[in-house]
Amino acid sequence: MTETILRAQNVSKHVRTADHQLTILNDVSLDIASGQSVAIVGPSGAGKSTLLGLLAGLDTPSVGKIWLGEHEITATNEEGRAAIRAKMVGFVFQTFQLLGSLTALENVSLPMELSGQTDARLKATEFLGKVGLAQRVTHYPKQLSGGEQQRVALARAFACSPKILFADEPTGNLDQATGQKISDLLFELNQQSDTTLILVTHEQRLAERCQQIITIDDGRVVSQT
Amino acid sequence: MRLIDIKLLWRDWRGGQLNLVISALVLAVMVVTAVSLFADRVERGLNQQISSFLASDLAVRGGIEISEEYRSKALELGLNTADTASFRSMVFAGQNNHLASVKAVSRAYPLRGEIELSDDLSVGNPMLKSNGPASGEAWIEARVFNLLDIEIGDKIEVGYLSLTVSNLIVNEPDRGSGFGAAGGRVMISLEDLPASQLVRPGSRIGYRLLMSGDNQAIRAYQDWYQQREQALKKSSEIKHFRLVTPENAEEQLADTMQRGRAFLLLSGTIGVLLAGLAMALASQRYASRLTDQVALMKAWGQSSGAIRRSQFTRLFLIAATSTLIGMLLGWLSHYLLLEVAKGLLNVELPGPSSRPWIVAMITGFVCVLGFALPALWHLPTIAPLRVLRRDLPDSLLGQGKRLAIGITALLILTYWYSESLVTSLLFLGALFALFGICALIALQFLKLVQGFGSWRGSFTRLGLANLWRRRGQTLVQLVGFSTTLMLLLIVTGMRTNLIAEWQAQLPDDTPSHFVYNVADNEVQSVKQLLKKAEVGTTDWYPMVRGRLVAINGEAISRERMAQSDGLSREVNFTQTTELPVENNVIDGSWWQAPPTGLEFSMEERVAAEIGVGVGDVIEFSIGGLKFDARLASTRSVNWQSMTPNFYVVFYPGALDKYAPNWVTAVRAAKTVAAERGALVKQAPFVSSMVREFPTAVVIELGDIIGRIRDVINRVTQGLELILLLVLLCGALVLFAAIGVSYDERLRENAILRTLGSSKKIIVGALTVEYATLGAIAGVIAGAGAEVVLYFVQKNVFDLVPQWHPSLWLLGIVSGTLLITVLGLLRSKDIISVPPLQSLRQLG
Repeated sequence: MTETILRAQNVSKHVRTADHQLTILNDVSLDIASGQSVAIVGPSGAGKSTLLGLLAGLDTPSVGKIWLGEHEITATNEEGRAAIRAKMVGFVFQTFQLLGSLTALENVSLPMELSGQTDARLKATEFLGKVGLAQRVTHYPKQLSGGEQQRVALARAFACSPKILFADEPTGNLDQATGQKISDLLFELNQQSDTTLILVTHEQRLAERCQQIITIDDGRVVSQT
Repeated sequence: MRLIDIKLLWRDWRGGQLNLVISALVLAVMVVTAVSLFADRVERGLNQQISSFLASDLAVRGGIEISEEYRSKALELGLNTADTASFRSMVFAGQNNHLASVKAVSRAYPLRGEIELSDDLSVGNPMLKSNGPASGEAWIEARVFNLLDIEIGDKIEVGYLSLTVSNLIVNEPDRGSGFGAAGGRVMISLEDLPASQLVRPGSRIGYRLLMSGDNQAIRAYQDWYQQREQALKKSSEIKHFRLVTPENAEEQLADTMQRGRAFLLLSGTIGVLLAGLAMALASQRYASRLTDQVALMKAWGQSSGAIRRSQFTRLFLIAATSTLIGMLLGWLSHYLLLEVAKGLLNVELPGPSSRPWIVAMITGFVCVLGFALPALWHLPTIAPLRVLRRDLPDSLLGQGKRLAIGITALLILTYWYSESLVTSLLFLGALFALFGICALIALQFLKLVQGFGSWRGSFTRLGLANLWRRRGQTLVQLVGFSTTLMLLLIVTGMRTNLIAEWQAQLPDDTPSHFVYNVADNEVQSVKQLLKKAEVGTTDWYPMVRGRLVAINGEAISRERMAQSDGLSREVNFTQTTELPVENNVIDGSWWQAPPTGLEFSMEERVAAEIGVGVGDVIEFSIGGLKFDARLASTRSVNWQSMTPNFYVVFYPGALDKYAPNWVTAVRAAKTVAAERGALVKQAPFVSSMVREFPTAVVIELGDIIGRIRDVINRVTQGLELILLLVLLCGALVLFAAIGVSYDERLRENAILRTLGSSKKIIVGALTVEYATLGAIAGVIAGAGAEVVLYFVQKNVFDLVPQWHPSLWLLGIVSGTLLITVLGLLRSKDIISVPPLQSLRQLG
């Protein structure tokens, strides 16, 4: 039996506005097995990114429990969640989130350097090679195209060997052809590293490449296939 | 310290994010180091020089032999001592004689400085000595050689003594400029004084006990002396002695230096304030650039504590490196300042004390803690969710808190730097006032220009609308610009005031000599001689010496006498119908018509000390003859005017029967650039005066005036250098303030250009924006500077406050020009970088 790496139990998220309480997520429960690829889809404003943030431990639910591996991240404080994230989680963002003052190589090696890995540069070079940017290691983000920037972001995410990779609209800022290449690369690296992939997208084709699709609408899980 | 923190810092630096923060910090430390090193060394040098003018660090002087207790206290504190006794006496050589200024000195004299001597009348081989003549020897000045017509090795007679002239005095440290130093100098050994039999009861001899030692012992002696003086006052004993310190010995020079120092320190403080402001603004931008980095680091699992530690490490490295660089640059620039001041001091400048270094180092760290840290403080608390939702608000440290921290840092720095709480509070008060004025007036101005823009051409409308739309940032910029401009205007205004006042103090026709002791029947002949020599004079005043003996019929008690120096000794009286130059009547009125009885006018401070007012009748004693006179007015006197000044002025007639001598000041007589030592810098009329009127006395003021002029010129040049540094700090503030809205402008203009706006419209809109900002800031700065200058003139420089319309104009014009030019320079990328690249750069 495959081991569950991520579990959410009756998770809700409410936000208090000036005059009333807004429910962004309502009683969401799900189980994700280790090594799976899962797409969270739904219309804009459905609560996809909020759910991703909660599952990654970047935010806390108003109600409900979440486990990452064997850690109940809802039972710990921000420092505890940070420690869990450091051990297990990687990210890819729609806006790439590369640091403008760092070269491609430094962007990739930074999270490894922060966690004290001594072979950070070596690994970063290796992963930049894997994403086809071996010749661009010294380039700064502003010298790279959007597709190249997202490739750097992929190299950064996979170089840390995370157990779970959260990707928020990874192709959302790219044209169709580039988006296609990036998603190919994403799934290829995912297969090589045996990472659990959880991605939020509104692109049907990208979602269909995942083993599981969770559809959200109006804060509720409406289907899981 | 982790290697990754150093790497991160290096990468931030390489990315240009730290340029402004570091430049501001380096500049602040550099200004502080340069100014305080310069002030410290010059002050120490000046004190040494003044000590050499005094031939000691301290002296007790009196008209009778110095009491034993003053000497034993000095010895008890481990001070070195020497004694001098000065008096006027005839010296003879064959048929020739001269009323000389004799100084009998103990062997240890001088304790500070050296006597420059020569055994050759052409001063071929000057030598420096730090002890006085041996018994049986006399050292004399060049003019005494000329007047007595003698050579080295000849004998002269001083009283009953016959002494061998062994050396020519080229220069002596405490030559002084008082009346006692009027005749040619004859220096003898104190051991020979009794044998001369010149010391008899009633002789007018000035005794001095000279002392030198380390600062602590000198201060201890001064404290002891003050306590002793208080005790004397209480016991109503007569005060026979006075303490002479370097400060009161060269009051005018010290006063000028004091003002120069005050200005240097204020300028330095302004530099630090500006740099602090630049740093606060630059740090805010740095923090906004770090926000994404920190959010990412947190998403990757870095704890708040780890991020805080990393932040502290990086700030510490920034502070330490920048402070070191600033100190190094400050150390180099203080040599520039010293180069300007070279020649100002004849002494080798001593090395600096440790204080300037400590002040500089602490400035660096306080600046970082007070200005940079508050802007970065919130970073570790940034929510990791920001990586997904960039619109999440930052939990910035409250504006109030940041302001309070910045103000505290400023207060610590300015107080430490200026050592004056009043000055620090005055400056901070002005800053607060400026912030308040900015907040209130700038908003009104912005509303006004917004309305104005609605019917103007396209780029004007765009520029003015931008100002209004970004009014939060506009306000921050206005605070920065106005503060900078205001401080620069204050520096300019202060400098103008200072120089104008100094120049007024020493006009070109400042007297160069005093001529006194001219007998009644010689006045006309002396006037003719001076006319022939083509030198002008101030008014001539008759002068007699006398003392005050009773007030309103009551004999002056010992208690009252002890209260005033003007009562306890003989003072010079004069009589005139005209109010002397630079005297102002404070109470009562100057005589318009002859009074019915005897009347006089008194200097206000003495009148206050002895407690007399207009209408009081005072009994005077001149040569034993007594008479009463009524006080008609009190006057303020400018004692620094270098013209004859008097405590007591009678209406003419009162002094006629006491055979007054006459005194005048001679204006700007050209001195002959003679060889050093031989007839030192003597004006041509002096030799004729001395020969034709041997009892008349001529005192040269040239040296003192020359010295003061030199100080003024050099200090002024020093100030200009400091002003340049302050200007640099100001430019940094402008750059930093423009940086606050840089990203937003970059994004907006990229969008505008993508939508097809021409470069002309964008440049035009930016020009309108910056010019309007500059003009508003100029008006506010003019107003602020005017207010601060009013108080600075009144409280710091003791000047009558004046309006400065030219400063307002300068503020508006320079504000508009400077901010437009600097703004456009800083916005170069906004205009020239292709829009796609701008958008990509901002993510």
